[in-house]
Amino acid sequence: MPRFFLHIDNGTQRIEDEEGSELPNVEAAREEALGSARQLWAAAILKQQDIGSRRL
Amino acid sequence: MAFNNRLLRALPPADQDVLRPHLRWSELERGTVLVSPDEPIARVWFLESGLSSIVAMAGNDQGIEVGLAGRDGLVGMPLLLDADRTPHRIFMQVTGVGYSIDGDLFRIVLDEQAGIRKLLLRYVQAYSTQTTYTALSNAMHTVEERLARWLLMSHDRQNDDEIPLTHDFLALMLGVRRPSVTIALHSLEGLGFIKATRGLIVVRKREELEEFAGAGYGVPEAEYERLIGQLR
Repeated sequence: MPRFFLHIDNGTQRIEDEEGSELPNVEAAREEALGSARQLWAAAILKQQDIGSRRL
Repeated sequence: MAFNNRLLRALPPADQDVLRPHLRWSELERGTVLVSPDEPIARVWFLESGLSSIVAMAGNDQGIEVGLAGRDGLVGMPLLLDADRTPHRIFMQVTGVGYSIDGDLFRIVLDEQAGIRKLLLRYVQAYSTQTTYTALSNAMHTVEERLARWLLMSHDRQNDDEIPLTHDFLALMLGVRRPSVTIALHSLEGLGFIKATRGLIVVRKREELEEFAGAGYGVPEAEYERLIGQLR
């Protein structure tokens, strides 16, 4: 299975995904990225943080 | 032979001598399965080092860690509670070594040795306190706080400050996707509490980490020390 890396960029700083995840294909990687983004947003909302400048 | 496992160490020498001839020493690589779900438990494990994870399964190989046992405890608790299997999966999270005893022999020893049985039952109480606080943390705390708690629990069960863990494992521990782990590690690192490199987390400021973890950390640990003895 290919390995996909989900780096996070907040506009000023890039947090590297050093390990990556094994996922079957690009579609699965896209699903993983979307699910991850939703999870990060949910956590940010609870903390009243705006993470709109972040890119995954 | 002095034991590093806190339960074996807490037993009086006479009780240790009862168990000693039955104990088999093994090296346990990361990923080694100690207990498989819904299968009879063949052996009970007393880890001397390393960490095992007790995982509740959600189907499709997915699950979440519900308990942690290292040198503080034993693996194969159902045998102590007159059950022969568990729906949980228990595997080595961090490579270590440990002793194991045949499950049937273990039950015979328990029937005959009230002192050993009582100590191990007190561990069940301590462990169940740990799992209830995991439930509390999962419901009430942020990923950062839960990560802090988990790192402290792991740090308690080893001698040095370096915890060898991948993000994949941490995601399983905390029941979140990997980018949430990446962000949480980055925040704790930004606060100076830890240093995270590929596959390795170094605890830098333990006291600050404890303060940050809040109510999730401390109560189960105090309960362990009250019931068994020194944890760290």
